[in-house]
Amino acid sequence: MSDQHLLNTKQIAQFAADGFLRFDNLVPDEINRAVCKQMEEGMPRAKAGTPLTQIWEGTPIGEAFSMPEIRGIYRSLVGPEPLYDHHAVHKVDVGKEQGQIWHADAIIDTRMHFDIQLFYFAHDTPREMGGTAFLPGSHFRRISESDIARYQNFTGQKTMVCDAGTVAVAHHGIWHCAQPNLTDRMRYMFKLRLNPTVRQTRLWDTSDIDDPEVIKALNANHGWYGNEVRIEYVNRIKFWRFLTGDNEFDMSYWMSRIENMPEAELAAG
Amino acid sequence: MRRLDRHLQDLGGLGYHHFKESLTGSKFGYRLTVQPAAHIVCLRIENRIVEEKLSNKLRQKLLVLYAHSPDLNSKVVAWSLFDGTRDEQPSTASEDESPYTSIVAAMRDGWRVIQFPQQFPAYPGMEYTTSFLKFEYILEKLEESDV
Repeated sequence: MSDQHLLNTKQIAQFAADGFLRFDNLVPDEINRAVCKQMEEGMPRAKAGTPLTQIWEGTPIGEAFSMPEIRGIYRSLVGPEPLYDHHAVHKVDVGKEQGQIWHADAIIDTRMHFDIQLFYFAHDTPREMGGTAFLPGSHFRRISESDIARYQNFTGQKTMVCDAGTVAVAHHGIWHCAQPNLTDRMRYMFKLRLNPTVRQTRLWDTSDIDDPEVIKALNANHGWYGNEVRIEYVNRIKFWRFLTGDNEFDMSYWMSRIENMPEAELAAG
Repeated sequence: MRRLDRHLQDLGGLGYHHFKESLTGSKFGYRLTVQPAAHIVCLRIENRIVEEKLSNKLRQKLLVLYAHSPDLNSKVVAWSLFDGTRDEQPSTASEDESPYTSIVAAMRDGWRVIQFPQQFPAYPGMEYTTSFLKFEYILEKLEESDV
């Protein structure tokens, strides 16, 4: 990360392809323990649309989200002054054997602009405790919340098995589900949704924008797309144009080919 | 009796042994014959008996497989199981490997395809919109269960 702890272009490309990024062991244990206590005691919601910097002052969760590393993450994606949308303290009861159904939060969202959701795991989360399962590359799919509840398993699905202090940041459209908790301890996960307040173009550290690893990250095939992978590439190219402001960006000639509609007439010879 | 046996086997796994035992015991009071002229009648009786005798035991398992392409030999990319033979149900994101590599592989293991995905051209303006998985095949098995 840079001085402002901004993400780099390779990370943003991975976000564009996968729909989420994870940062292991990011929050120190002292804050984690205090946040766990705060989650047990309960956290009232603030009003949707409130600037994030105006809430949770002097509380452990406020301290966590004021960390330069976390500010760098959200600044790189939604700008320095995002709005609080809502938060949730997600709990999975002791001995809960059934995973949550796959879903995306909210409703069909046709914007190219995007919200982010931060998933904060304040205590250790081994596989027998969950955590959240993500489906990489699902964020451009237009579905409404639990429309996808018939699905159980996908090639390439990922679960957040992590140490305390791990944070994931996801595009609002990501498909996800809480996993069973087979332990004798309640499982907590803190989720926060943020809205952008500025144009989401080149908000990150772009010094590596010409790195070949960027295109490599954008070309990821997560396996479960099947024959639709090329359509997903088109979605990513459009998203990358939005993120970079480069309306001629292409990879593997996918867009250039279908945008080629010459109008110039052959000069009379 | 040999000819009737063959027809019962053709019913294909619908509790054949169970059914045959019922027939030979004449538990339903039908006197079944295997005379050619009476054969159709026999089958009708069989159907009714199958329904009456086995509907209390047979339970449906549904396997939903999502294929790479409309080719039933293409690889499975997502899968779900809904099991009517037991109380416990599979959980989300619980398996890293598909139970079958293709739809045909599942068919070879006795699963019967009961629904094909229809194919529609993209609506104008929706050519690059993705949503649900397109190549969804629903397969079933019927198994006896006390659930």
